[in-house]
Amino acid sequence: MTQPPRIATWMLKHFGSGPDNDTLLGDLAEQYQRNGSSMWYWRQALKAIPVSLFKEIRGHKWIAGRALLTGWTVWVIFGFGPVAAMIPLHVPLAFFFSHRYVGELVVNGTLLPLLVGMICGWLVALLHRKQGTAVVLLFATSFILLHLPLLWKIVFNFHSLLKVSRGGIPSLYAQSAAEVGAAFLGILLGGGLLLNQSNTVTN
Amino acid sequence: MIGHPARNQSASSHFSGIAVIRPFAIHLFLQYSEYMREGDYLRNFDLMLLLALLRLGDEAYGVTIAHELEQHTGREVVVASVYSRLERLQERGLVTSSLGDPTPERGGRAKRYFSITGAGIREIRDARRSLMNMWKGLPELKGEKA
Repeated sequence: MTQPPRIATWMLKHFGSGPDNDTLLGDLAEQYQRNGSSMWYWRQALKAIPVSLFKEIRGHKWIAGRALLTGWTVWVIFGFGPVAAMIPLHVPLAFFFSHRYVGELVVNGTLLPLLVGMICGWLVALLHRKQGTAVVLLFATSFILLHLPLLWKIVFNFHSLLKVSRGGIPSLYAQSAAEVGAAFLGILLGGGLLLNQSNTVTN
Repeated sequence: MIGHPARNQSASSHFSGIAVIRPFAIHLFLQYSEYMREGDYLRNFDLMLLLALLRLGDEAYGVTIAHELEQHTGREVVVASVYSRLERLQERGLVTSSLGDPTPERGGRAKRYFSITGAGIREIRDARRSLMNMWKGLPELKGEKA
């Protein structure tokens, strides 16, 4: 028996939402045994994620709204408080990375957004357990959408990502890209979307 | 975003990006609103789903339904959208579902079988009648049957 593409299966298993997700995985596996087309399997898996997300949001509009409000409130509260608290960390990190600004990039650009993102994702998932996957994915998507202009800029200024000014300050785009990426990853991690999930069949 | 003093320098340049994505965002919002705002009418896809359930009888589950639709429309069907629409039809009482036994071919996962209800059959008849009434007397469609 041939195994369907693992990454596509993993993605659908972790990011697909709704009670039919497991049945859908079974359907795709069954069809894959017949046609053996990896492209078909990938297409189905990638399209299934937004379809199931939309379906869950439509079915639970208020919960989706509440989850967004929760996520963004926690992001604002925790996103600004710890910045000041972690500033002393810049000094030891500066020694570690042999430059102050690189230390700042590590703390402000990656560690903090990752940590805050994890807290947000965890709280959103905790408060909306039944629709956990959908609401965490919705919040993470809203985060990316809000930063779309910034990401747009980054894509069109990709060459400047690796630029370092004379003072040793990493490119602003590099910091922004690191922040958004780390926060997005943190939300998914905190929301438990990247953890191993058991196969459950709901009726 | 978590604050960095240098961030303010780029704030104005970020806003020019908003102008670029605004049409895309508006389009996405309108699509989403259309998706959310749904009346009592059966969509084309819903009607095809109900007809596929009638054709398949006891063997109607995700894969077979998608296959049946693909055979008759000639287009690839996203299996997830079959479930999404069937769940909607189930909420309206036009369809019922039950879980089958898990099989090794499916990685130990169960099938979800769907069947059409009496209300579903009535809905198909109504839709057909409405379509035929709309079809009649149109010179552009002369010679074609509904």
